[in-house]
Amino acid sequence: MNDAHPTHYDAVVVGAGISGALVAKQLAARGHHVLILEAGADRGEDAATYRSYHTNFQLTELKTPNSPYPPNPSAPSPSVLDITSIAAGKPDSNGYFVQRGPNPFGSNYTRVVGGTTMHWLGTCLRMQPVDFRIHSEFGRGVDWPLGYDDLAPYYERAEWEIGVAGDKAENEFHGIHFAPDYDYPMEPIPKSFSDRWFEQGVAGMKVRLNNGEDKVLAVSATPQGRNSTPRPGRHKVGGETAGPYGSAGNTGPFYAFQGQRCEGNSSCIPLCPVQAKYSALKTLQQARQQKGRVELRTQSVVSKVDTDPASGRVTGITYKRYEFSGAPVWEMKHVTAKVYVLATNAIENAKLALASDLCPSSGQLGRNLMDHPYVLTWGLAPRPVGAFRGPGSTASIPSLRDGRFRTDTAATRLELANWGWNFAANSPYSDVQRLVGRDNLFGAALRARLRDEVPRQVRIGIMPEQLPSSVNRVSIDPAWRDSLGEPRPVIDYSVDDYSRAGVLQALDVTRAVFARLGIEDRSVVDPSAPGYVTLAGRGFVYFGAGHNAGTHRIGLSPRDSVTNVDGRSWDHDNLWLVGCGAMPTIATSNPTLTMTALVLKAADSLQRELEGA
Amino acid sequence: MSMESERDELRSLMAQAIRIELTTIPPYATAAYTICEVGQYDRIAPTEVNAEPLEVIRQVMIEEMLHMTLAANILNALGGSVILNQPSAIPSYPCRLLPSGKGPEVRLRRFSRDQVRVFREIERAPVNFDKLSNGDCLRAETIGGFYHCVREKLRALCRTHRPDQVFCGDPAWQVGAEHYWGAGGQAFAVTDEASALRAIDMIVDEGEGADLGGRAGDGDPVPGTGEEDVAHFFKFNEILLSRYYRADDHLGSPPTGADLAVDWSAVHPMRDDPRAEDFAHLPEVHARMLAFDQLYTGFLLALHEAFNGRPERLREAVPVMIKLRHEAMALVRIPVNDQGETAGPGWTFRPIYSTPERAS
Repeated sequence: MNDAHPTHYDAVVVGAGISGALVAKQLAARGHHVLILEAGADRGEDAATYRSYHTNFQLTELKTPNSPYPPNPSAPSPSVLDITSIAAGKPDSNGYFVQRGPNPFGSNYTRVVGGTTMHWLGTCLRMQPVDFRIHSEFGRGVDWPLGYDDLAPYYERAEWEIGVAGDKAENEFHGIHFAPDYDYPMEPIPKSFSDRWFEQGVAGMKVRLNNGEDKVLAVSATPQGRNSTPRPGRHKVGGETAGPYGSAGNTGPFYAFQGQRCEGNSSCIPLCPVQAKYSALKTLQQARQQKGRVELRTQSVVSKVDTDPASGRVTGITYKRYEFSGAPVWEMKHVTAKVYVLATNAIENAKLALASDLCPSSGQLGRNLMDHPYVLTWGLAPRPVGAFRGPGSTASIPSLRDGRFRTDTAATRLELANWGWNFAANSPYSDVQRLVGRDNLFGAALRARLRDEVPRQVRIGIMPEQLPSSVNRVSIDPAWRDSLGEPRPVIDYSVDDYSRAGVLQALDVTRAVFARLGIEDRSVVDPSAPGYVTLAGRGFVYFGAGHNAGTHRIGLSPRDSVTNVDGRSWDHDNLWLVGCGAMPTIATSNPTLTMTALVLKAADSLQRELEGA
Repeated sequence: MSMESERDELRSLMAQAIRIELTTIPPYATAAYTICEVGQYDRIAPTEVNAEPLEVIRQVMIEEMLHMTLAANILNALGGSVILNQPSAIPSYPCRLLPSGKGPEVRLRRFSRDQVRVFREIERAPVNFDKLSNGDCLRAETIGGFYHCVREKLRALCRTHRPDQVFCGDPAWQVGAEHYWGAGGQAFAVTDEASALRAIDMIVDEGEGADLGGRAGDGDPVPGTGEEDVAHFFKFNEILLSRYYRADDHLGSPPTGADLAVDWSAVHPMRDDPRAEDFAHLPEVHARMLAFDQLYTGFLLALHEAFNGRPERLREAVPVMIKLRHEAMALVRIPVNDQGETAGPGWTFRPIYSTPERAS
């Protein structure tokens, strides 16, 4: 039968998120013909669809990161609402994931055009140089096959692709450094009032950790993928001169994806109404402007990566094109290319590779699943601090991101939140319920209490490093399939004592900060919550941070890694795996920026491969 | 005429240009803010309506803001000064669009077919240019004709005089991308003939169309997409015809793009040309409308400073625009009479330096 589409390309990329879009953009810029296969629904790149997401979110009562996106049984996404406690021997299969525990994996992702950048916050932190060698330094985890300075030019390019607003000086700590002729493309998003209040409050504050180490706390502004004001002048970015960062205007039906400046809508997660926040839709639009052709095929769920058993080379990709979401009807299709790139998130990449029997040599495929088990602590400040204004978080306390304690206690980043108890307690909605239902307030008294309390809400998020572990893994099981007959990810996950110790250390520090600033601790720890865990008799509740990583790590040897440092599979010469799955460790920075740097490095090697260099 | 008097004439023409651009913004904003985005029909869940016409008007409106900024850059480059702190410099409605008194009467009215037809007239391209060249620009009958005439005068001046005589303004007063970004396109400094002509061309192309010969496209790629944008005249016609234009469509033939759904009934019935004075019998509404005017006045005063040597003040003006939107959208939801008509934003410049009275 004749197919309207061509079936052979220079490159086939699986996944229309940030990784896939960047690979497509770079290859197409060199004139190559790229096909992107995306499981999510058709028309995901239209402005009207973006608006409908926004409406969905506004009209829904339970606001979660995935609530703008219509449920899609043909390409299901995990939801944070599916998470329950897991009884031994009884997997939790409420949602898309099949969770075998012992602890629930609390994170999710979004299977739509644009991927999980459709609900991320936009935090763009670099890893610290020491994070690349935690095994050598602390005897924990693994070392990366490259160092900070090797990745630095790619960090620069990544920051310019995303359009990061940041201040170098605020981020030069624990050995993080920037080239003198480099700068972020945009001026920093200002610290919020609450950030500055914390900054003044903790200035010079010294804490003694359990190992006897002293730390002086400081507040650092967070670099973020959010339009502010382009930095004037020219800069060296990854060796090339660039700048100033171009205006991304907003006329015509595509305005939405280029975005305006951040204007403080306080709605970064999931969606910025003015698209000030970066999403992969921006890069996808740019990819389609390049001289090579970029074709995006949606509602196309990749089912199998076919290989030649003799050479190991990938011979094609088989995918299922469904016409109607939820209907168990699809058409099998096949495409071929010179090179193949799996560019979905860490869990889907591993799932697809496992289902295709790829990358067997190291035995590491699907293993080392990591996240930041994210712990919230919240309280009432003695004065209004302007809660619910500005982006979700604009600063953090990085003081615990490194220290000698890392031999037996996880490093943590203390994220200062701007939206009061929103994530912690569904404020401000729950405040109304509480004051009406429990305190019997109404009318003027209710308004006065809300006006008094809500602007005083503060929250600190604790993000501990999680180490790679072979028992934290994604696997597949023929018993568990979705409506297209594709495997559902089966997840084994636990939060180990190392990470728990890091959280407890950070809780001690946040308590000291609360005491010093006169913040009344209002945190609630619910022992029946699915994410409740303990260490030495002290319990806390963790959530997923959405930072799925580690399932196809890069490395120096086929014995202990799935791909080489460029994301090229050791076992399949023309296959690349890119995305957060490539990260050998997760450190204490949100992973997207480091992932993007690795993707750009992989794209360089794909380009060399296609051009025979 | 001497160099000075020719330059003075151009300065006063650019001051007129700023006024013309400013004149269009409150009516466009008012129409946009009277649109209901979510309608409640015979279904349980509210339904999204009119997001598209709202978006189309918003796009035009923010391009007018860019045009006003570029016009201010030209005036400052010519060594003139922008005046936005005098009542005489600020339009009050109803008014005429052009100094000649020609063109449609501009009013503050709710979103309706009639009002969108007026908007379309505002953006209509001139029929005959030759009549206007080197003539009296103040007699121009369209915005495009006005700018065409100004452009000719500017070129004539540059032919006979040194650039540093013509462009004698302080370059530090120019508003560039570092101060104005991401709304309607790229603001750029005007320092010479080439950049001044580029600014005029951008204003005209985005309004009436790139070739002024009836093609819809404005010659301007949508940043980041490579798609060509459509000129304002056509954008308003899109709403009237319920169908998007494509760049290669022409005046006189129907648009060939996708559907553009418009629900003319999902509109807040704002009373025409609302003014605070008309609502003195409703003290709360009156106070709220005065508060809106106060906000608008403060905004214009900030713009005045921004265009008079403090371009960084634009940054502070952005949140005020958002406040204006919120306040306007609140006003058009307040019913004021038995017919169900609502209050609305009056966009009246009231330079009062004391705090206005507030209803308790």
